[in-house]
Order: sequence, then structure tokens, then C-alpha cells
Amino acid sequence: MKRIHIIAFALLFCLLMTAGVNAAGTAPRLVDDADILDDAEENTLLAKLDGISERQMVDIVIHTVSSIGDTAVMEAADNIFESYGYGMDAERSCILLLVSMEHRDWHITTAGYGIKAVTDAGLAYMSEQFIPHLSGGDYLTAFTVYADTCDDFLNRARSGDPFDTDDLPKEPFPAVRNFLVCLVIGIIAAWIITGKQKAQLYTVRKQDGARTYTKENSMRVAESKDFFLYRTVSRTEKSDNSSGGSTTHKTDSGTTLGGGGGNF
Amino acid sequence: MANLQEYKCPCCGGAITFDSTLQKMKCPFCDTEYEMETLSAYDDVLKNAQADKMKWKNDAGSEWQDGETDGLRVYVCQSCGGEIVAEETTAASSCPYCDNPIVMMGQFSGALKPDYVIPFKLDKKAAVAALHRHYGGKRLLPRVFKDQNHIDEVKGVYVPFWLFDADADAQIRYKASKTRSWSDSKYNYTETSWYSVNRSGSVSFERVPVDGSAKMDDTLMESIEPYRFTDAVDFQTAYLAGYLADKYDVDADASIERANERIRKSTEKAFAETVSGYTEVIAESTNIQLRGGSVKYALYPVWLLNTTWKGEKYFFAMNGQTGKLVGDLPLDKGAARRMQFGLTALITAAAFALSWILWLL
Repeated sequence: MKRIHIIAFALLFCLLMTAGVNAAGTAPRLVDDADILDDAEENTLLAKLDGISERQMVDIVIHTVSSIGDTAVMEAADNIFESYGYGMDAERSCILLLVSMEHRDWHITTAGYGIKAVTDAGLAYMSEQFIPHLSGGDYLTAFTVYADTCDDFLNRARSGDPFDTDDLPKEPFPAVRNFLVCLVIGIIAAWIITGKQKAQLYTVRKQDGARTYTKENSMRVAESKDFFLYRTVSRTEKSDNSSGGSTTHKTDSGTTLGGGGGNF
Repeated sequence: MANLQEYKCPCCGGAITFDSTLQKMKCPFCDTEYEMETLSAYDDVLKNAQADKMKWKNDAGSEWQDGETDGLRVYVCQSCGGEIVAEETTAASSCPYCDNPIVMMGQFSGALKPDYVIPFKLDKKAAVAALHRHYGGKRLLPRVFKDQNHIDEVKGVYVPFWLFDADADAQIRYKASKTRSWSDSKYNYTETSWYSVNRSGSVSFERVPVDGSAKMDDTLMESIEPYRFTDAVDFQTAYLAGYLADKYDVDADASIERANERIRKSTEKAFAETVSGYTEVIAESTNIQLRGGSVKYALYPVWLLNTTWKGEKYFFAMNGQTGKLVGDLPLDKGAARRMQFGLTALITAAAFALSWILWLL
């Protein structure tokens, strides 16, 4: 029995040593239960998370797990937030990313100032930045991008104008895509102009009708009758356009949390 | 037993029945509902439709008077078989169509005497000048074609035309639609209302020309239209002096089809322009009947020019009355490729720069 206690203590000690704890000495901001990062990567990432969290006074947290069992991913993320007691100020401000490897789920739970900083549109944008790396197995880059994006979003929110539907961060100039689109435009426009120049060489063509030979003012409309026959109505469902802001929900303990997730 | 009145659905063509609950006619196939009066009016329109009648009274041309053709000679092309008429004083040595030698067959005889002739208003010099203008401003015309160009032959030819006069009575039925869109919190709606649009009336055509020469390219002749009939005079052989004349070898009856086609197209277009205020208009049936259709025979003045380049013949025709000149020219394929690639690069670069500026804003 004593032996089991020693082993458990040793494991907890190792976990705390590798994952680190936040400045307040509470829960670690990086918990890699799925073991998808090596030690060096964990240290680098944890230092980054701690640095941003202390500066912004918002816990930026990453948890990876092998499985969440039958629990819904949002519920699992909320449970981690509650059980680890994250949140840095009176509002318990936090942005927590949970990654579950079994079904390749991810979820971001936001709390306090995190809800204000990461709107629904902002979360969609944020996920577009790091999910491709997560899907590609480049976990360190994915988590680094996530941490940097959180930092950007918090900076912007502190200025009083959080990123939202009509005001998302500017994406890098899509040079390759734009070049291909411009090339297609160039080919079509050049083809039309060259076609017009070619057409000037060919002047022999049939007459379309005999309009030139219509007797002046000879057109008489004797009957002009329009009447209604029938009517058809078709309907299509409107696409759901969000009006901005953050969607929130309440946990069993009454805490208001925001966020969203998906698969990678 | 009384006959049962059966209506067909204007929407899908199925047989319509009366729905006692709605107190309306309803199609059991497409569920479209109709007022009784609507179907009755639509049925009347369908019943009044008539078949096309495009007949012509052919009294074109007249017989030659005694001695009138004495000074006319007939030449035959040894290559294309074309028969050319010229005054005995006109030095005719080559075929105006294929440029091969022609042989005099003797005194002109037979065929009808033309009703009208439009005398040449422009001379050979004007035709050559028009050809040089025709070369101008065409970037894809090979430069050497312009520089080395020499005209092989310029010939003034009176080309036979059949002229068709008629009043066209038209009865046209269209199906037209108007659309209206709105939305509520969940759906976008589009309402399409269908109408039966009926037009009838008449439009008159004067002297629609159809080329009566088999040797002369019909498309080339239509390309130099129009001719102004105000300059036409009663035919006199004296107008042929110094020019060649083609003998018609496509008679008026064989030319009717093209005249009908052109008259039908213009009539349909003229009446379609009276239908407005709809999103979409589809012509469902067109009935055209001709009144007073008559045909005349006339000679119209044409300058024919031809040139040879890289072993290929290029033909040009100029309206001898208005000066309108047409004729297909060779294409400088290398210049066309350079233009295509150069413009592609230029436009792509400009569009790419614009997209970058827009991204910066």
C-alpha cells in the first residue's frame, strides 16, 4: 500500500515538473495527458502560456487527453475548467483548449474576459488558424498558433473593440490564389480582345432579317392582350448569418462559459 | 349526349378538372389552380390560331422587245460555267467570279428582262480606295499582305436580284413571367406569375433582295446590303455599257425560301419589341400570313475585286451604290499569338497589383 502511495506521489511530482504550474501556484496551464508533445516542446509551450497569461491576466490553457469517454467534448472542457479551478481574476477569465485524441475532438471553453475577447466569429477564425496544423500532426505549431492568436485577441479586446464578424484580423495576402484568379481573368480578357481583333478580318456575314426593308410606319398592332394564367411560389431556407458577439451557456454550478469546438 | 369541354393545363399540358372545394379548375398533375374565365380566354386564343401562309405572286421581269438585245453578247466561263452578259463594246476577257478566261458564245437571247436597275454610282477608283481603307486599323492583318498587295482584277458587275414586296399579318402568342421576391425570418420566397401575351397586327416589307446568281456567293451579297431603291430606274440596256451583267440562274421561286426566312425573322422581332414589363418572354406560337406578295427582278451594281496571296484567292465586293466594301482577310497567326500572350501578361499583372492594393486598404 505504501509502495502505491510512493508511486502515485512520484507520478504527480513528475507531472507537475513536466507540465509546470501557473504563477499563482495553482493548476498547470499545459496538461499533456495524451502525450503528444515531448519534454522540450512542453517546456517551451508552457513558458509561452505562462507569459501570455500573466501579462493578459487571463489563463491561456491547453489540455490534451487520450479519451473523454462518453462525455460530450464541451462538457469535458467545462469540467476541466471547473475541476482545475482555472481563471485569473474575479471573473475567472480563461481561454481553455481541450484536445481529445480518441475521436480527434477539440473544444475551446472561454470564461470571464475570455468570453468578451473570443466572440463566435473570432473563435471560428482562431480555429481556422490552428486546426490545419492539428490535423497535420504538427501539435507544437498548432498550440503555439493558438496561444499567439489568444494573445492577439486579448490585446484587441483590451483596446475596446474585440474581433468580430465584420472586423476579423487580416489574413496574409493570398498571393498564389490571387495570382491564379488574375491569370484566369487575364486569359479570358485577352481572348475576348484578341477575338474582337480577329473578327475585324471577317466581314462577310448573312443578314439577320429584313428590318432595313420595313416600310416606314407600317407596323400596326391590332390586338395586344395580356392575361394572367397562374402563379407558383418557391421558398428556400435562409442561411444562418450570425449577428456577432459570443454564444454562452451555464454549467451545473452556474458559471457562464462560452466557446465552441469541432473535429480535426 | 353533349360534348364535354376539356381544358389543357397551360403549365404542364395535363387535362384539368373542376375542384368543387376550391370552386376553381385545378390540374391534378401539377396542382396549379385556374379561374374558369382564364382557361376559357386561353382556349379562345388557341382556337383562333391559324397556319402560316407565305405565298407570292411571281410577275417578275418582262419580255425583251424586238432588237433590244441586239447589242448584248453572252460569254461563258470555261472554268466555272458562269454566263456573263456584256455590251458588244465591252472588252470582257475573264470571269468576274473565278478570274478564268471567258469565251463569247454569241448574241444574248432568252431570260427575262429586268424590271429595274440601280446604275453604278461609284467608279473603279473608289473601289480600289475602299479596299485600301478596308486594310486599315486591322492589327492582325499580315503586314506583308498589305505591303505586297496588288489587286488582280477589278470588275463592275450588275448582279441579278429578286425583290420581294409584301404585307405580313402576324399572330404571335408568348408565355411571359414576372417574378417577385420577399423573405421572412426563416425563408426566402420567389413568386413567379405566368401570363399569356398575345399580339397580332401587320408590318409591310418593300423590296427584300435575294441574290439570283448561283455563282455569286449569297452571303457576300447580303454583306454589302442595304441598297437604296430610291436610285432605281426602269431597266435600259444602255446602263450595261462598260460593265458586265450576270444572267440569273436561280429563279424567283427558288429564292422565296430565303425571302420568307428574312421576313419572318424581322416580323417576330418587331412584335417581340412590343412585349415589355416581364422578366422572361418565350414565344409559344407564331403565325404569319402574307398579303399582296409580289416579286420584281432588278440588277444591282457590285464592284468585285480579287487578289492572290500565298497561292490563295481573296475576294472582295463593294456595293456600287453606297460604297460598302466587305471581304475576309488573312490572319497573322504569329501576331495573334503574341497579342494573346502579351495581353494575358499585362492584364494578369494589372489585376494582381489591384488585388494587392485592395488587400492593403
